[in-house]
Amino acid sequence: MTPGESLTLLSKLIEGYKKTLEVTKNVTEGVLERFTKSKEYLNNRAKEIDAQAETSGLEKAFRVIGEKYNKLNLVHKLGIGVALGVGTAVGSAVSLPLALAGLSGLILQRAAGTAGMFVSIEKKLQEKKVDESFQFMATKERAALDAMLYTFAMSTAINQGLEFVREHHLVEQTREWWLGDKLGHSTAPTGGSGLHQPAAVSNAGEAIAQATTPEVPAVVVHASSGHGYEYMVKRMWEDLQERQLDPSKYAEGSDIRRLLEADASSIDKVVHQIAADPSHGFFNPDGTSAVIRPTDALTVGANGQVLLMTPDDVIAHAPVGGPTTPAYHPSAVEQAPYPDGIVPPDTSPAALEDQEAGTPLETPETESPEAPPPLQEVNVVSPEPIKTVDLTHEQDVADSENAVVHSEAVSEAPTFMTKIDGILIDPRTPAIYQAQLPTGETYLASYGGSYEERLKFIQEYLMRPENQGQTIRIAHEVPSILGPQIKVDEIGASTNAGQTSWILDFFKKPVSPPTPETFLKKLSK
Amino acid sequence: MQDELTALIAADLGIKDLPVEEQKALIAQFGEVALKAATLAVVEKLAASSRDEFAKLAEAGDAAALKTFLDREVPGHEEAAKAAVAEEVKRFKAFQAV
Repeated sequence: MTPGESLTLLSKLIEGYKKTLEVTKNVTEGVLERFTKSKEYLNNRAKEIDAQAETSGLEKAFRVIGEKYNKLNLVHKLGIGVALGVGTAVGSAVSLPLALAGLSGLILQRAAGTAGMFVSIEKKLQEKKVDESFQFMATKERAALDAMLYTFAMSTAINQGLEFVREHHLVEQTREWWLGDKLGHSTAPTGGSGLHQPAAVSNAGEAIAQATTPEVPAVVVHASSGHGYEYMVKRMWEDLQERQLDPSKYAEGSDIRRLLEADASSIDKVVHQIAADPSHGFFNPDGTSAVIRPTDALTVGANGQVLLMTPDDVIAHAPVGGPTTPAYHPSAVEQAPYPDGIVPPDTSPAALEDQEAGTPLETPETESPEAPPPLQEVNVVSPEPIKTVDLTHEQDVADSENAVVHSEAVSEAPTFMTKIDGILIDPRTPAIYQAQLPTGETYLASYGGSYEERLKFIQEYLMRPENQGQTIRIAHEVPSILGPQIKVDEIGASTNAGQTSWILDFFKKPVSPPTPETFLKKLSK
Repeated sequence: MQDELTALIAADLGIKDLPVEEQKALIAQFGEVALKAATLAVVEKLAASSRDEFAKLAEAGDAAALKTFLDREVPGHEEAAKAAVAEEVKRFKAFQAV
């Protein structure tokens, strides 16, 4: 293939990308329009109801309802929705008093804090029942039952608290009642609260009223890109600090008490201790850390223990044998020499995760290291700071003017070297690297320079006879309703009888963009 | 749990094809409409002389006292609230279908 033909192919490739972007843009705009119109509709509808309320002489009460509601977080708003029967599979859990009381936020705190445990109980029950009498239940019925149980869990937890539910085996009772009702064997009793539920539940409020267990705050910390367990626990600490709770009300040694008692100077150590605690096992003695997935979240259980909520389970301990990030050895970092008078940076995982610069993106398929490998984070004393490019923003800081503007970011950005051949990774220059996922799987990645430069570099690389048949991942920015997002595609080429075919492959699920800390070797010269 | 509830409510409102963050935003907004509609439906059945007491109890956030009060003053308040919410769900879904 001549250089001219190569350029033609490259042009076609870029043109294809542009069309893809255009389609994406159109879809995004359609979603945005529908979302905006829906919001307008709901705004207008709320105003209509407010206007009707004026005639009832309760305009002030309605204003207060609106103000209080808008101050609630999403978990509490979901709880109110459930209390009003929105989204319920059975459609029976409607309680205006409960919903109005939920505006105070206090009632719903227990629900959010304990609902996760309910899921865990339910899961165990499911596993148990599959082996017993419920194995004939059809998938659709099970889905309906699970949906009902979730809403039942929320409304029950709001009313009575999970401990009572667990102690009285209400999950089993509910399941059996529901199934029996479906099969026409029995009729569900109606509780005093107006909710259709097993009779035992209606008396649960009294039992809970007598309980002396302190309120477990509704803390939910969702996983975020590039951050791990310790980062999330630290965010949980921040949330707890704002609530000004009394640590002495919680069991000595419990996670929640340790967090409440920690201050800014000790919190990094405390979160690391919690992560390394054998009851959690998110930081292992060998320096590896359990992978946190973007769909995970942390909450506090009824006994004050930090719990990880995954789409499948609620657990206190990291999954045994689950994926881990590369080993982190604090001692290796501490060995790096620092000049007199320079305070070594805090390199604990929690502190490292607080540093936004250089934080890798991640996706459900892959997890960036919770703590970077030691050599990558050593602050090498360099006479000339090495400028870096934020791939996600395509910012070229090669020129001196930009380098000055971004001097602060540049000075804080880590520098990276490939793990195996120890070559400095230059973010200004496109190159092909062998990268490794946390699972150990390797792939080829393009990195450095602008998107167009990387495309051209990939083309030249794949045209070489020794690289035939390879595929290379490339990250680029695409517009979305949530703002610019990083998308990763794979480019390959194959040549038959002198004709080269280009392959642009789209991943079914989003994958993480290549990041320097995952690079093993530099393949291009 | 939060994701399951979001998915359930989004399906109920006919917005499950929107991105999750947009679903959450609309669900949160819909909750206010549902709460106000249910409250209005119940208050309209309440004698004018009792509305101040209702407002005080609602603001105090005492679910048990509110329930006792409504059980006494508005028989069938649960059905009224349920119907009002169902009507709002129906309206919103109809809007989505346009």
